[in-house]
Amino acid sequence: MSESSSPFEHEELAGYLLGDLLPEEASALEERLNQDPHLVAELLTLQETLDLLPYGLPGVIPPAALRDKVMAEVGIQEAPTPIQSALPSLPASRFKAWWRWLGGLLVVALVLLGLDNWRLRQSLQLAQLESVQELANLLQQPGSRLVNLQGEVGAANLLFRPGEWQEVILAATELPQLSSGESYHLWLRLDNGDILYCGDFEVDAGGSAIVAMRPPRTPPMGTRAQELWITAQARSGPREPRGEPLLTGTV
Amino acid sequence: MADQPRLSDSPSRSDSELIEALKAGQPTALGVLYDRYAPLVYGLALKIMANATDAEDLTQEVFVTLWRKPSYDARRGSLSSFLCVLTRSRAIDRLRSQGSSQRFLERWQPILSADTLTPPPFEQVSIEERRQAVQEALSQLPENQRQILELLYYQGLSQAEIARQLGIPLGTVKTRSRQALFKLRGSLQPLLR
Repeated sequence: MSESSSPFEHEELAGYLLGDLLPEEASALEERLNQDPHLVAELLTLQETLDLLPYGLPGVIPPAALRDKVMAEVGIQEAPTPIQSALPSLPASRFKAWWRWLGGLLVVALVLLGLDNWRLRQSLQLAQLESVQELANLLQQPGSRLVNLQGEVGAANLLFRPGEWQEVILAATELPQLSSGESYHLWLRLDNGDILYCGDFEVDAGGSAIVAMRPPRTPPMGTRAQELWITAQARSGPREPRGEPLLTGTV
Repeated sequence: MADQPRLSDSPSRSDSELIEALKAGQPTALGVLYDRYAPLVYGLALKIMANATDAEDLTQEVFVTLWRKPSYDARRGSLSSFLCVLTRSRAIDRLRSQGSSQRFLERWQPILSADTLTPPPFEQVSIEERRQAVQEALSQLPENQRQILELLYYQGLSQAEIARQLGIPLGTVKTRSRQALFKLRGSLQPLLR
């Protein structure tokens, strides 16, 4: 204990830390703390004492799966896990073709970005440049996952980091043009049955789109993403899936 | 996954080295720190939340926070203390938001009776030493003082709430909690800076 502080002050410090001082007593002590480093040191020591209390508990080994969940949430994959087996089961040739297309788009877009970002933004109607940049960022993250969505017409891939649904990248090709007032909607079903709206998008004249989505709701802790699907429905309607899924994919 | 060797080149690295690696974006560092401190964090979360699912969620949140915002500063204390403070603070916030401090009392004891003791792996000697010292210090406190300190610390109850819960005067709670803190401070002096 500091030599300059009295037993009364020690009592006060303990009371302050334990929350049993009256507001006026606490204010008066805070004023003294501002002027007396010895008193502050004593307060910190008492705080440290309290902070040692958890060592009095027995350590408890958490379930083994929790480690994997933590690593997945931060986008780390240390070893092959079931997650990898859930990667899209596209035929190899189509998978490679997809990545060539995506990679080509990325390279072209990044080169153009370097040339004239503003002009590109003006000339491209899809406002997708941020998406491309974000795609590049996502691709650089270890543990990023790709889910393939397929249907009778078109195809799409969703790129995301496990546990981080705040931002996902969707790339779609060969989708039909929609009527005015409609857009494509992406939906996510969780293992508890809940359905989350992820975002909507439109395709360019060639039926393609690459967009970054920021779902307004993310899966709550303890739930797992199960299934993704895309519908075509009114842009301004209620945020619930309408109509048959055009493309579906399993997470 | 649990049976696979983990990061064989890293377990002997110090906390400071691992935190630097974490800040540099090296993901293996998080795995090592998790292996080192998850039992402490999870044990504390379980003690406060008294619910295994909630404790798992909180443990996950603490380590993800450590990865995304490694705000730990070694000059302000040990990493284990930092993790404990973070865990406790968030656990009590959650309890308050759930309004569940009352039902806590009904739940915590049976759950902790099923604890599994942590094996003493690499670099946990200091944790084990602290554990023994704190357990010894706590065992020297009179039961009525230790109980109040635990209600204050693990549940974040106010002294008035404790007085009501235990049916004793507020002044008694105040006196006992202060006495407990000072006794602990004396017993744990070698562990304090």
